[in-house]
Amino acid sequence: MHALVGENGAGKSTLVKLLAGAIAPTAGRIVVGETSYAALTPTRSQALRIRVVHQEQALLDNLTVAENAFFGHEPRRLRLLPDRAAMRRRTQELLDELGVAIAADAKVARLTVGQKQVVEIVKGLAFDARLFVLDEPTAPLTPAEVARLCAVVKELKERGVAVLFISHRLQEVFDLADRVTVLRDGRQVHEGPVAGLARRDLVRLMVGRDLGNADESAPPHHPDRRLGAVRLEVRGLSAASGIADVSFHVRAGEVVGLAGLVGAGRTETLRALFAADRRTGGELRLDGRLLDPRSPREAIAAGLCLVPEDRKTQGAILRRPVGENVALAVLAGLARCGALLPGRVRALAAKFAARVRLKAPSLDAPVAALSGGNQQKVVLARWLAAGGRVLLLDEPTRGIDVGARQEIYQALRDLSRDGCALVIASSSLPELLALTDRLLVFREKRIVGELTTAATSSEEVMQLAAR
Amino acid sequence: MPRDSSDRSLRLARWRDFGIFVVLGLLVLFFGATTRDHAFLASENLVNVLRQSAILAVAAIGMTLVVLTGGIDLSVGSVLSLSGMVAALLCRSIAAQGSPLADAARNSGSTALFVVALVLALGFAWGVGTAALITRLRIPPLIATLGTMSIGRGAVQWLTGGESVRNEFGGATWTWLTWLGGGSWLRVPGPVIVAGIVVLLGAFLLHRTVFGTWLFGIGCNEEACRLAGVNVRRIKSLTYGLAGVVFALAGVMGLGRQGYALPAAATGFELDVVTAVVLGGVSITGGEGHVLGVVAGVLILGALDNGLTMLSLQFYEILVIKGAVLLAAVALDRLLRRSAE
Repeated sequence: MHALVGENGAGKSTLVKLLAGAIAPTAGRIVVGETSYAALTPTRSQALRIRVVHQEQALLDNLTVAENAFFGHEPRRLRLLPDRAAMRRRTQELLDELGVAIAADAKVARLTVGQKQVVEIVKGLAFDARLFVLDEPTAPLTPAEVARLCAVVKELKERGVAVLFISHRLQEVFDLADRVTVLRDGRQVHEGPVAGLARRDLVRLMVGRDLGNADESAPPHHPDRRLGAVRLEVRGLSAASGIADVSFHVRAGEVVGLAGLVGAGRTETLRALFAADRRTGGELRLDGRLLDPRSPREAIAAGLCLVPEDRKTQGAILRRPVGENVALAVLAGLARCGALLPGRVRALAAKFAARVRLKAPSLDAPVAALSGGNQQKVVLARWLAAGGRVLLLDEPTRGIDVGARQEIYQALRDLSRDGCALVIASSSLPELLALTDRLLVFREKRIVGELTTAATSSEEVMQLAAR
Repeated sequence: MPRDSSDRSLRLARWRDFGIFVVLGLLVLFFGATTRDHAFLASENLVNVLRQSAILAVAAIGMTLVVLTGGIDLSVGSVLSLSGMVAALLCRSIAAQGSPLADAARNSGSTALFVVALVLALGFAWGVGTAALITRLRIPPLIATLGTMSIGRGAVQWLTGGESVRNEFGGATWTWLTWLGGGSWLRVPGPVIVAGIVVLLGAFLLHRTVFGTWLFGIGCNEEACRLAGVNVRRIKSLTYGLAGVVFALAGVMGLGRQGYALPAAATGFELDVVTAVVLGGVSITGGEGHVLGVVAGVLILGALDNGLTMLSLQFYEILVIKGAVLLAAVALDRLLRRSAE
C-alpha cells in the first residue's frame, strides 16, 4: 500500500493518467513486474491488470452493480449472451467478501456516493486487478464510509493486491499506507516508509513551507467577532428530496455545521433553504421576516447564498472567464440598460478575487484553467460580491489542497466577523470541529442532535450520525 | 495579473476564431481563379453574393442565439415561410378594404411597418411557445422543434390551400414591404442593410450585454447559472422568442426577394442555417462562439452557392457539397478542440 500525496497541481493526476495509459510519458519508462514499457495505452494498462479508479466516477447509472462490475468483459454463454446469473453471483460474492451491504442487482443510480466507490473497487476485483490506483477515493465520503472503505482497502492488501492511493486526508495516509511518495510541482520530493514520519513533516514536504498544525485545523475567529441576533430561523422544513421537519436557527456571525453521513439530509437541507429544490413545508425567517423563496433567484434577492456541493457542475462555469464567474450573481447591477460596463465588472471581480486570495493567471482566463482550490475560491468570491446575509456552504473544501483550504477558512472567518451567518455541511468531521460554533447532526433526513462544538468530540458526533 | 499571451491553447483558440476568415479568403480566390473572366470577383457579383447571403445571415444570427444555449431550432424554414405568407395575406386583406381610410393606409409606409411589426410579434410568440415546450414540458430542443417545424409547414399550406400569393392587388404596403428583400438604397441592396443591422445588434446583444453573458453561461453550465440566480427559463424564452423575431424578419425579406409568397419557401433551409452557424465556430453543444465567425460562415455558404452555380454545378451537387462542408466543419472543430486540450 503506497500513498501518493501533494498539493493540487503537484502532478498526482498526471501520474495516474500515465498509469491508466491516457497519456504517454515524454521521458522515462514504466516498469510493471519484470517488463519495462516506454508508454502504456488504455488497452495495455488493462491487460497488465492495472485498475484506475478516478476521482470522477465512471459507473453507468442505469445498469445494476453486477452489470457495471463486469462491463466490457461479461462472462458469456454461447459466446454471445451475457451470463447474468454468473455475473450476479460473482459480484455478490465479492461484495460479501468485502463485507458491504450492497445488492448485486441494485441499480447504481440508487446507491450513495460511498457505495459507488465500493462498486468501483468491485469492478477492479471482477477482472482480477493486480494494481489498484485510487485517486482520492475518500474525498466525497463521510467518516463512517471512509472507515468502511479503509476496511475494504485493507482487505485488498490481504489479497496481495498492490494499491496506489491518493488522498488529501493525511490521517488516512498514516492509517493505511506502508510507504508514501510526496510530489511537489511535478517532482518527487520524498519517498519512504510511513512509519517514523511525523505528520508535520509530511505537510512541510507537501507544501514546501511550514504550515504549523495545518491540515484540518482552521484559523481562529477574529477577536472582534460578535454573535448577533438570530439571523436565519428554520422551522419544520421539509422538501420533496425527503428531508422532514428540520428546525434550527443561526445567529449573525455564527458558524453552524451540518454533520452526518452522505445522504443523511445535509445537502438536501441546504438546497431546500436556497430553493434549489422544492420545499413542501416549513417556515423560514430572515432577520425576523418571513421568507418564501421559490427559486434560487428569489433566495439570493432575500440575502441567501449557496456554495453548492459540486463546484464543477453546479458552482463555476468552467469555460467562462474568472471575472464573469465572480460577477455572475450581480451582473445586472454592473450594467446600464442591460449593456455591461466592462470596467465595473473588472473592478468588482478584482476586488473580490483579492479578498479570497485567488491565484489566477488573469481575470480573463477560463475557470477551467485554475486548480480545484482556486475554482472554489471563484465560487466563494461570487457570493462575497453578492453580499448575502446568510452563506450556505456544501462541502466547501472537498478535494482541495491544504494551502487553499486555509485561505478559504480565512475568508469564512472574515465573513463571520462581518456578521454573516454561516451554515456549513461537510463530510470532514475535523473540518466541522475546527470551523463551527454548533453542530447539527443529521440521520435519515432528520436532525437527530445538536451539539456545541467546543464541548463535543468526533466520537460523540459519530454516535449520533451512525446507527 | 499579467496576461500570458504565449499560452499555446489560447493561440490555438484564437486561430480557430479567425481561421474561418482565411478559409473564406481562399474560397473567394479559388472561385476568382476558376470562373470564366474572373467573373466571380466582379463587383456586381460580389454584391450579388452579399444580397443572396443576407437572408441566411439574418436567420443565422437568430440560430446562433439558440445554439449558444445548447439548443437548436429546426423550425427556422417553416417560420420563414409562414411569416412571409402571413405578411402577403395581410397586404392582400388591407388592399381588399374599400374604405377611403384603407385607401390612405394602402399608400403609406406606416402600414407596412404595422404589417412587419405584426409578423415579428407572431415570430416572437412562436419562439416563446417553442421555449415553453423545451423548458416547461422538458422536450429536448431537437424533438420539440422537429414538431414545430412540421406544424409550421402544415399551417402555411393550410392557410392558402397550398396556393402561392402574388401581388395582384397593388398598393404601396406591398412595395414598402418588399424593399426589405428586393429594394436598395444608394445602390446598397436593402437586404444587405437589414442584415448588417441585425448582425450589429446581435453582436452587441451577445458580447456586450448582461443577457448575452447569461446566454453563454447557460450554454456552458445551466445548473450553475440557475444556482447563481439566473432566471434560466426566462432567458431561454427570450432567446427562442428573439430567434423567432429574426426568423420572421428573414421571412419578410424572403417575400421581398421572391416577389410572391410560396408555401414551400425555405424548405430545407435549416440545413443552411445550422451549417453557417457551426461553420462559424459556434459550438453545437452551446456556450462558445462569436457573431463575426457566424458572418464568415454565412459568407462561405453564400460564396459556395454562387461560385458553384457559376461553375455550372447542379443544385443537387451543391447540396451534397454543403452537407459535406457541415460535417467537415464539425470534425475540424472537434480536432482543434482536442489539440487545444
